[in-house]
Amino acid sequence: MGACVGDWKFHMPEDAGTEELFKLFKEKAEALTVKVLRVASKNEAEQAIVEEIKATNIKLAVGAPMTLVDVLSIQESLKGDGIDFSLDLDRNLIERAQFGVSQFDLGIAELGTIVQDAESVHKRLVSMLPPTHLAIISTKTIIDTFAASLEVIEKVYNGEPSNFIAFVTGPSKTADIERVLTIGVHGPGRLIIVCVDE
Amino acid sequence: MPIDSGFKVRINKALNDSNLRGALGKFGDVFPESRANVYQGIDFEELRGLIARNKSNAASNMEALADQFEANIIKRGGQVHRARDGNDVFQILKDIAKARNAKKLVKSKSMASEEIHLNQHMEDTLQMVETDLGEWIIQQINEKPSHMVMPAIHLSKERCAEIFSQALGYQVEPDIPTMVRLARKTLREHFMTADIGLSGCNIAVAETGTMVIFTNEGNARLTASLPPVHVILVGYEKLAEKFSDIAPIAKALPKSATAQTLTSYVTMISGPAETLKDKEGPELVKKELHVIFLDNGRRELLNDPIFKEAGQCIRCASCLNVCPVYQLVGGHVFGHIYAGGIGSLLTGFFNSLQDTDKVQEMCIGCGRCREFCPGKIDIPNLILEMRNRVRKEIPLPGLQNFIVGSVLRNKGLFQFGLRQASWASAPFATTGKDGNKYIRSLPFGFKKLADWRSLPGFNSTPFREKIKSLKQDVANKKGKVAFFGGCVIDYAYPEIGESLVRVLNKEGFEVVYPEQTCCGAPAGYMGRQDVAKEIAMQNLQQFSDDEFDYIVSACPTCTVALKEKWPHLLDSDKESKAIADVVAAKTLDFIKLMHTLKKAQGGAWDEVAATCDIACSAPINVAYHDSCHLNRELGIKEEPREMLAAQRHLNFMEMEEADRCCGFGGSYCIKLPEISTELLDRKLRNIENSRAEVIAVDCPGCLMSLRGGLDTKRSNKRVLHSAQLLDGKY
Ligand code: SF4
Ligand code: SF4
Repeated sequence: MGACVGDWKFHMPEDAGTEELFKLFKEKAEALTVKVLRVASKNEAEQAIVEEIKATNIKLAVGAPMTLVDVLSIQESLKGDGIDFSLDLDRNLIERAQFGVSQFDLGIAELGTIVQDAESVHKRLVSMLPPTHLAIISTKTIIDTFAASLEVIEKVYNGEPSNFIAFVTGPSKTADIERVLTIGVHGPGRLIIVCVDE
Repeated sequence: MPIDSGFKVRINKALNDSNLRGALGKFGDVFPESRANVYQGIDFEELRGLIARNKSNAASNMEALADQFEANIIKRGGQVHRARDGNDVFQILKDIAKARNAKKLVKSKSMASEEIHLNQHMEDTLQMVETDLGEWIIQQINEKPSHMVMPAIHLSKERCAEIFSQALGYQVEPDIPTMVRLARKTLREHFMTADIGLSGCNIAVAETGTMVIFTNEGNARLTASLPPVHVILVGYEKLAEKFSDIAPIAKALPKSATAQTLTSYVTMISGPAETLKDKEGPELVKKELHVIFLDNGRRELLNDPIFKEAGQCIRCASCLNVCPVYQLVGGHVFGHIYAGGIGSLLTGFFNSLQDTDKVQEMCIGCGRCREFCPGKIDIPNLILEMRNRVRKEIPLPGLQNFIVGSVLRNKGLFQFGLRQASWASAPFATTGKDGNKYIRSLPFGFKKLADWRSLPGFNSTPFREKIKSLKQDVANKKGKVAFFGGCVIDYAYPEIGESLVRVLNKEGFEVVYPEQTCCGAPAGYMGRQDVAKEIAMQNLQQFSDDEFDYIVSACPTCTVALKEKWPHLLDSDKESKAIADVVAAKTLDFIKLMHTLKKAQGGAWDEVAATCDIACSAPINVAYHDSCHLNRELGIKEEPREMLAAQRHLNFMEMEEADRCCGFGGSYCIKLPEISTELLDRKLRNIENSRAEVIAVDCPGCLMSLRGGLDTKRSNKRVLHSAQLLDGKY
């Protein structure tokens, strides 16, 4: 039990990660105001993350450990622009940050949803506290339905799901006052998803 | 009726609250459409069939699933507590707080915690902070949620701004994004400093020990992550057997609740995840995870052979959004913590029969909620069962109890009473624009009954007498039909019965009128199933004759009684049940019978009327009003339309909201005229706005109500029963 990042991709259904699935995923996520980027390689992914952070015009961004990109290289690139990209598990620092980057394990095409083993509190804080969240996923782990995602989870954890699994669909929102849809209550109001083909 | 004046004051207050009316009305109008959009391409019947089956199986297996769930949580290092009621929960929570020396608790939405008034009982021990925006707002003014999904739907943004200003100590403008931003800031501080997080959960999977929480704001994730202790309050009805059972609920819940494909966050917790030591870290420790299983009447509900069905509820609240009564008064009047029809059922078990007494009376039985419910719950019929239970403990007040218990029960007395009504009302009758007799006002205490819609002038010769002298011309006789007239046709509109006889004669059927009394429905709807049963018995034998090819009624409420209620009421007596089943199988509503006969003839629908009453140069514009019982209880929607559209003298057209309840509801309009009037007014507006000159109906109750309303407004529109239209009596 517990977080075994990387395991998920070995349990994908055969038809995962097709062009059609990516297209549908992008369409559904964009309909929820999510920005979806697609890159071919690890390098390009790092580049995309750096650019998104720079464009946000901030001084402090945070990230949790990731395997799809080299966080140290991102840190290095941002340093030149005077932006601190912190990888420390420091709650108050993460709370102060304007931008969080974390890796997700799965995408659901029919919903534009991303799924993460969130046993790690570091991942959770980075994806919940800052007003902007950038999630990185592998295009190969985009599958079709919610029901299929449950099957993947059952396989990955051999019937004993990780303690904390998070499904995220679009930004945090509320309609509690006069039913007017308002973005960004407790969670991030802005969500960016970078899909890497590797 | 057990609706006291205090409750009436609250109803009137709600009806006069323009904010509430505006918010609920607008939402009620847009919800069905946005919901339909998001369900596009999905087989709703199949989906809800699956949910209902899964939930029903889980209910039957509840104890074993609870044990399995508990074992799984303990295996992972979590703690499980079993609470019989609110008091147990308070004690458990106090102990948890004491062991930690906890001062503050942040709570994400949990209806179960509302139900036991958790905040109020924990105030001395902990600072309780609601974090769901709507819940936080109403917590500031000590109110209860008025809707299960949108707890503050009854408050305007101006009112919210006042509440924010008061709570934060400075002036806040009624600007929604500003208020949301301030709430984020204020509540974030609470999250960072809270010692305990408490949340509800939507599904508890036994197989894996997984608790699933659906939220849009993200507060459940923070509640589960920031404080070092997480307490999850789980009702037994949330149990599911398998991990894969999450899928159908996840597919239906967000769509039915807010017309979303999925909520922003779905959180699955299967054990104590890691957390920061002493809130801030950096050292990592296992979170302290407590699961409190709450009974509080749930086991009784889930073990009840009838009410078990209410356990299929997934708390989407779509039944509220579409309920015409909820739309008028909201959840503080139609509800007690849990709002609306389903709320009145849950309240009966979670709180008390006393608490649901007035609430359940609010349901008019239109059946609209049932069409939308993703748990496939027959809410209106369960409410009738609930009413029956309530009435065993809390009898109807004197006069009504006498009417139901003695007059309705006694055939002779009942018929005598109705005949008295015919001459008793005679002096007050006037002739309306459509040529019918109306009573526009009544003296003394009865004034309220006729003020808002005229009553029919009772006929001096009831149908049961008239049929004796009616000459039946049946060429090519095919068979015999027994007519169950029902009180309204018998005493108020015998001409509908006469039309029915002529139309069926023309189809080759002789019509007989067996000795009969009331169908029992009014007693049943007033919660006296014992009386309804006796009445069913009084009728049964006379309708069991083998020579009847069909039994027909021209009142859908009576049809439902014969077809569905009698076999159910007589369930315990084998012999009577067998007869009731035969009667039920032969019973058809008039329009359904006509449709069936004509269909058998290859759909020669246009040749119905023997003669036409008036020489029409152009066809008459006719629209149809669906009776709730015909449409939603018997599922007859297209048949009347097909029949009417095929008549050469009629030009059939739809009017707006044709299937919306007219507000009659039998005794409902006497019990809650305030609500009935509002429902009727909306119907009359739709009628006035349509181009139809004639409104066709199949229910004499609706006919009475619509004619009365139109007469009050001195309208030129006329209301006729389908039997009259098919008889050429325009
Ligand atoms: S049957 Fe009609 S009135 Fe009763 S709860 Fe359902 S929608 Fe509301
Ligand atoms: S009764 Fe049905 S419609 Fe109403 S909240 Fe429950 S599941 Fe939803």
